[in-house]
Amino acid sequence: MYTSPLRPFRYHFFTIWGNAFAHTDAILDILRREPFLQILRIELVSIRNMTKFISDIYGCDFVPPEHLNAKVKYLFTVKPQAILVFVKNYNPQEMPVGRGAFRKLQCQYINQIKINIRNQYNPRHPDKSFRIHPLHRGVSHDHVIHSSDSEEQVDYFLKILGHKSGVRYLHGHTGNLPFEKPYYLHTPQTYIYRIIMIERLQALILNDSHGKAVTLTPTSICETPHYKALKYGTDDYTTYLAKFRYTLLTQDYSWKRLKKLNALNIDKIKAFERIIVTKEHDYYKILDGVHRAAVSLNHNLKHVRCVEFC
Amino acid sequence: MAQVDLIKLLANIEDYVLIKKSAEFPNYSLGSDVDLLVMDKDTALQRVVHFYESHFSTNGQLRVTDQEYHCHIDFLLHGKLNVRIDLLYDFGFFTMFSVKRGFFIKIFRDRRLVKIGNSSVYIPAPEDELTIRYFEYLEYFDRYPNKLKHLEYICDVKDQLLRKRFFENTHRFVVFSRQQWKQPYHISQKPKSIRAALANINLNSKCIIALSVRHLSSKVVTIYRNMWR
Repeated sequence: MYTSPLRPFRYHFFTIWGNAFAHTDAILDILRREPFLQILRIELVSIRNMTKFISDIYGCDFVPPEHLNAKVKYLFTVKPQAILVFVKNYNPQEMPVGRGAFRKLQCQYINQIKINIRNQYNPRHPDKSFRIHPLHRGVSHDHVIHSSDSEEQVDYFLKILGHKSGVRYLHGHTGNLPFEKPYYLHTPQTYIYRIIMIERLQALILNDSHGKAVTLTPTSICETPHYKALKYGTDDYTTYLAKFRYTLLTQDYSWKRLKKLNALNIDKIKAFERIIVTKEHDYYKILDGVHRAAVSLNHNLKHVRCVEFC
Repeated sequence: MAQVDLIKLLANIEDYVLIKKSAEFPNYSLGSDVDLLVMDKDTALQRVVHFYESHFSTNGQLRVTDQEYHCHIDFLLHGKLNVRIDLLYDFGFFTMFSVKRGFFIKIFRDRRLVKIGNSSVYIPAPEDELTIRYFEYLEYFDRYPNKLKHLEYICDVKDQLLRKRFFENTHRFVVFSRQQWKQPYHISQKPKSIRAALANINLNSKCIIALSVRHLSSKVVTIYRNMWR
């Protein structure tokens, strides 16, 4: 499927620069609201060498380097961190744009999203009449966000980040399964559809209370921060996210989304995508679907629909 | 014991050909299998899963084993096999011979709709059914003696015209992979000329020198290592 030229999606990435960290959630909300985008991975990177990082990220860009040098000067003055958001774009609109040395292939859908975000969150220019197309009047060009133009750039950048398989890393081992599976799980040869009691499920929860190392602790659903936050209104889940989000938890999680999931009516909750589990000694370990399990338990369901990877 | 409604299941799949249909179909004994040829394995699998979700998921489990050329879908009740649906989408699993892809297409082109009760199911044309059975016999008869039943089934056919069509069909679509004799590498051919003999001497002496050097160096390394132990 990945190699098919007819596949209806492309992979892209957005980079939220350090000057926009205060608006991260708002920017992510914009991306979440886009009907044709699916956020796959959100990753915080600390930049030791900004020059190298910029040359890496723009290494596969098609525009002349001298233009880029002038364009990214402000990045040396912002916080040396960036949030990388990898997305699946179901509305690819790649077309050649620009003239001469600036001619390049660019997805117009992704570009438009990027421009909208820049218009909203780029710092304002001291001169209110300042304008460089395509941004609005009064908006500076100290960009808060960067995006890939084409999938080739995503492949290149992933390889730079150390994912040797490039864009195939995001595509994962998808063998046309009859259910949704996150990219990081391997496609099993055998899987079983079954209904499992929630009390037999255990989630792997990140735990740093032992000292230096962060460990994954098998935890029953009623003990997870997800369930505690939903059931008793504690701040366990937000604390958990604050600790590990974008570093060890690279999926698109937020308290707002969990609450939204919990607010669904019971029929929709019963019809959730199946939770992916694997059998351990005397329990089932959740590979994907801790949030769904927590919401189901919060609605007093005793069983959930699962797929067991063998 | 609950049974999977095979007629309803096949109606869900739509694009299939039921091969080796048993006499008791749509009933079946526990643990038996139903072989289906499908053009698009993913779509067929999706539809079986959909059937399971709407008719069987409260009672039992569904085990899917995806393999090259075919896919086993087991309906399990209390952990025991109720019925196995075998989706075949390629004849590549035959190892004794290979079958042209055209046969697959012919089976679908010539499939027949037969009435079973109030519904109907797709089965292959008679000559295709015989050919499939014959292929299965050829592939497995030396390992599984029960496959002889396929040969007996074919031998029982009285219709001479059908027999003729079966032979034509089989010979048209089967491809035998002929074994080729390969000259063992250690047999050296006698040189046909002085020049070829000299070339051999040159090659052999190079080979002797290279092997001797390698042997000697490995010995030196071993001695050196032992000295420092």
